[in-house]
Amino acid sequence: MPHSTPKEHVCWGGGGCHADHHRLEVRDLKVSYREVLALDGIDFATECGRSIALIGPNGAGKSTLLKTLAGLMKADSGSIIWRGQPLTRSSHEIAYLPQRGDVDWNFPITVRGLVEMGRYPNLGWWRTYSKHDAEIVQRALTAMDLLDLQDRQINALSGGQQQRTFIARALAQEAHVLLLDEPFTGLDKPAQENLSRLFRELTAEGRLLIASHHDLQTVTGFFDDVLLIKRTQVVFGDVATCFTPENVGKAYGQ
Amino acid sequence: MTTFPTLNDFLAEPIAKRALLACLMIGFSNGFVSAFVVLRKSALKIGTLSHALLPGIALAVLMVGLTAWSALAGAVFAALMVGLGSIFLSRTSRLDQDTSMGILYTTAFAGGYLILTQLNIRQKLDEWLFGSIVGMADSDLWIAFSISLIAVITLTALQRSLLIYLFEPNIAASLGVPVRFLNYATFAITILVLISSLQAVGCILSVGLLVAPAATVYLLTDNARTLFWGGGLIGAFGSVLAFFISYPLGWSVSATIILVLGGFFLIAYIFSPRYGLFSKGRQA
Repeated sequence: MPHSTPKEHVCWGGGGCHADHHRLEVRDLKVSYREVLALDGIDFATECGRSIALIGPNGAGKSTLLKTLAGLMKADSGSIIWRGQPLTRSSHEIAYLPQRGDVDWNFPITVRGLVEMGRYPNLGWWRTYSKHDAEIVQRALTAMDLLDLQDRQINALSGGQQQRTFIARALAQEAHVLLLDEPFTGLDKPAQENLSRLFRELTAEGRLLIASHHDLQTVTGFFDDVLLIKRTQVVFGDVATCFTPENVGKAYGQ
Repeated sequence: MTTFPTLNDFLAEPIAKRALLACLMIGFSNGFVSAFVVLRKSALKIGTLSHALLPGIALAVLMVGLTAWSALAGAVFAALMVGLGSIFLSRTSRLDQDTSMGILYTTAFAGGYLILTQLNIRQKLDEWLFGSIVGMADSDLWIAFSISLIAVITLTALQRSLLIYLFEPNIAASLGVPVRFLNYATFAITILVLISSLQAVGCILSVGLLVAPAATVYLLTDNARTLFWGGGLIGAFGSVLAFFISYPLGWSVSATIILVLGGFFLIAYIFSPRYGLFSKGRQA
């Protein structure tokens, strides 16, 4: 049984132990972008400990869905329910990781500085950065194997290191859910394998990963579940049963 | 050696003391805020705004006469009109915001120019176009001082939020950074600081004062926080240096300030140990 949900859900960083599984439910979600319907009828439920590949052709609404789940865009109708509560605003439990190409890597900041940004929900603009914050940042850097790189400028990182820095930022945020926009894009084979291994570690410790992905060859190796969309939902379920040529054809065909 | 006594005599004049103080304060506040402008990559927008302020000032002069406060109110009004107007235009037509702004600010500038020429205050017009740091009154200095204080305190207090927002607005919003509030707050500060730089170097050169200092430091540091204080120090030092250079040569102070800051930038561009033309491990 390769991808069973963990019996005991330990949320890393938060220090808490949750017997009840953290459940994310998306109900009949409809989102418009500049008065154009971008998503309609997105409806699925999942829980912590899974990794979900968000698959669909260009313009299918993958980024829109991630942004809506992250609270960056408002849904026209439908609901997002996280741990039994409707998600109406940004939460530290949900981290958004943009595409690497959307970020200015010349921004003058070090790896540690970027990871420290994850403490913002806890600190706000005025609280002092405490020893507790420093410890969590240290753990996040350690988990992503970035300790040796922590003082390096972010423009001097490889693609895989950049992605790990982003994930470390999400860990510092003590996020349960990681929403990643095309995390594997632009990485070479070894870096992809490495990231895939980190994904498995993250889900094993009870995190939920939802990542848009466009390389159909690697879906089966990298993810537990698949959500196929083409503005509307084609199928959602575990990779073995749902990621079939027929379903892929429905999403990508005319 | 003859220039020193005359310079001393000159410095004994209240007008020169005021000019020197103005260089120090306006140079610092503009340099400090230039860090924000550089990180936001909004240099061109600042150029637009600085030109847009002219008609507001002209209208204020036309209606209530020229005082520091009427100029300030007019400037804020004009900036809001062009800033909000461009958003409105782009939303209600198929034009993007840059195009809308391009039309609005040149039209506003032309209107403002014509009003000022009609008012027969030729000399004042030159001051708004090219600055009048030498002719500042005590009240102007107090305004410049207040603006500097507000800018430095606000940007320092908001720095943690601001840096995340400047790095990536989506990450910032997902972390709960008040993105909309920061937008308004930084817009307000930019307008305030622009007004002080408009007085000092005029609306044509003000972009230089609000970009060059932090752009120079950007080539020397890897720390975003250093950019703010470093920009302030470079701005203040450059302006004061320009004051002393321009006096014996009889040059315009405002033009000299921008020239000196441009020179600083060129030196950093060529000789910066890490990001200069000749640095070995050059990272794009």
